Amino acid sequence: MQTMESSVRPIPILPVAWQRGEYRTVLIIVAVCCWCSALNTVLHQGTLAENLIISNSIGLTQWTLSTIVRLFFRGRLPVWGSVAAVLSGFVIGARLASLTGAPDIVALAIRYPAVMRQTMLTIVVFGAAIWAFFLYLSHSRGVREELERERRRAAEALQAETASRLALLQAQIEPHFLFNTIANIHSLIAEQPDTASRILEQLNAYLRTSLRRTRQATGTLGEEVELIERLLAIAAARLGRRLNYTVSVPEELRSSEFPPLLLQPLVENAIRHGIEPAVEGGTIQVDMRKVGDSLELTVTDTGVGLNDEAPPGIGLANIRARLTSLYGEKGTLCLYENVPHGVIAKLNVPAATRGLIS
Amino acid sequence: MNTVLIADDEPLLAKDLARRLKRSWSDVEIVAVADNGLQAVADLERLRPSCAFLDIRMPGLSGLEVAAAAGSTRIVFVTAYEEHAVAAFEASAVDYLVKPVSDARLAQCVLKLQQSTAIRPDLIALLRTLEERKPSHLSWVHTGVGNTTRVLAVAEILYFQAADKYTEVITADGRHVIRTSLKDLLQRLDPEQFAQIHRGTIVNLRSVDKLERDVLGRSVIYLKNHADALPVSRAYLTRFRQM
Repeated sequence: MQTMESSVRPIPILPVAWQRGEYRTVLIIVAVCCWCSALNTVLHQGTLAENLIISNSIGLTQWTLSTIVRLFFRGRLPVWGSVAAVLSGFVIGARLASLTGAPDIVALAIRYPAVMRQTMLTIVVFGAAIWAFFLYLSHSRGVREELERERRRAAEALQAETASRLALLQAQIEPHFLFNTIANIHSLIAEQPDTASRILEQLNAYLRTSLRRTRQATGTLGEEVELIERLLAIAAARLGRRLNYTVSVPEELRSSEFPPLLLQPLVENAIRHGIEPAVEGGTIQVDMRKVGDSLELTVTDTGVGLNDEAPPGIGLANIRARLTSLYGEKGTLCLYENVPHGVIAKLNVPAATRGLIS
Repeated sequence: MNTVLIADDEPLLAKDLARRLKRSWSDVEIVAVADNGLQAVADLERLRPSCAFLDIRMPGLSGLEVAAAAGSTRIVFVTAYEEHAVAAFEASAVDYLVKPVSDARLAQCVLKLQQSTAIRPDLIALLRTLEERKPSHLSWVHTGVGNTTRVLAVAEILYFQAADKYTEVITADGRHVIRTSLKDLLQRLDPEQFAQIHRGTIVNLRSVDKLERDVLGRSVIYLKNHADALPVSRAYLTRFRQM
């Protein structure tokens, strides 16, 4: 909120951000107007003083009008605005100049079009040139600002990516999961040493794969599937009859590239927030398929569903941040209500060709 | 004879605890093993055991909620790892155990149970303090898309916009419609996270990029990662000045 406070400050006559360029703009206008009037004096008619007054009056009136238009458009000057400012500025500027005793060139041009043709042509050519110059200037400024914004967005995305990676690394070796699993193994050692040993192997493989995947920027969908199968096997051992699960993955998708920490947190959520709080337990179903150019991964559970008792936690926000930083708008996560209860989480990412994710 | 109820949603742990209790306590009878909170309460009321070992995280009702129905039954909490709540009930429960429970620690707990004459911890008061701590703000918004119901996490919502009888919910990936009015929403949303900025607009403060005022005194909020600019009416501007 601090940043908001700082942006509410007393309003200067012109927004501070575009005051810097204004003096230079006025100087350029005056310089061009002076040159234009000198040329008119030499080539056509009128005294230098009169021509100076007329052309500067027109130029500065046009600038004033376009500044007023910009005030209403937060610093931007739409093309129609600049056309309107230039045309009306011409008429008004000429009229203002005539107040000082100089001839009103617009009125003259209307009355004696033949005489004024040369003068008007010079003015129009110069006017068009200066107008095009400023249009180009404001356009290139817009491009530069856009570039700046883009750079800032990229930096923010990188930061979010690092933060989410760290947070997810911690979440992965989540204490509740780890201690519960160890407690279960401990409880089995005396009576069912074989089962204990099997769960210990699963835990070992899970931790190993999980750490390796977290360090890598990418990996294959097959590795991710291995990880979630181990996770589900451990959970099923812990929860007994309360958890059933299926993971179906088409063989040809196993080798496709898939970044870590997108699918696995969804499966963890389904276990922790879907099945664990459900008295009757439920089923978790993980499906993957290729739809056109994208990969659709669905985690469906028949657990308690989403309610205000189960706040979304940091997990979903992290997945979203990761999706944005990896795929921009092409990566989406949507949650749906399962019928009669539970959650369907749908993850859509572009089917990666090698080298896309760096 | 001491009668014991064990409640744990992980069957292996419940079975192991039962086995080891029998080993370290000569005159004990495990009268019931419940795998959820509701079952545990039913068993407690039906059997009135002398002690109950309750897991804290359980489906149905939590161990803390089950304890409120304990009557004269002495309570031992069993938890997977030290959670924040542990400190709160440490003073009032007979004992609490952290899984995995070592034989020595279990023997110590049994000794405590044998010596203690029903200490009734004031669990109801304890529950109340725990509940007070839990904020009950809206976390999810359900919106219909044809036959399916899309669920939006409140944190992913950029802003709400009133539209006739409906409210539009704008997220990064689109606009959704819900039937809840803006006024009702405002009461249920976390005021730390959401603020009304206009008669018809509630904005997620975390999605705000900046607030700008133009020369005519109109204020506009720009969002991060979204093109929409939201006008702020004068009446709601004070909120931003105070911060």
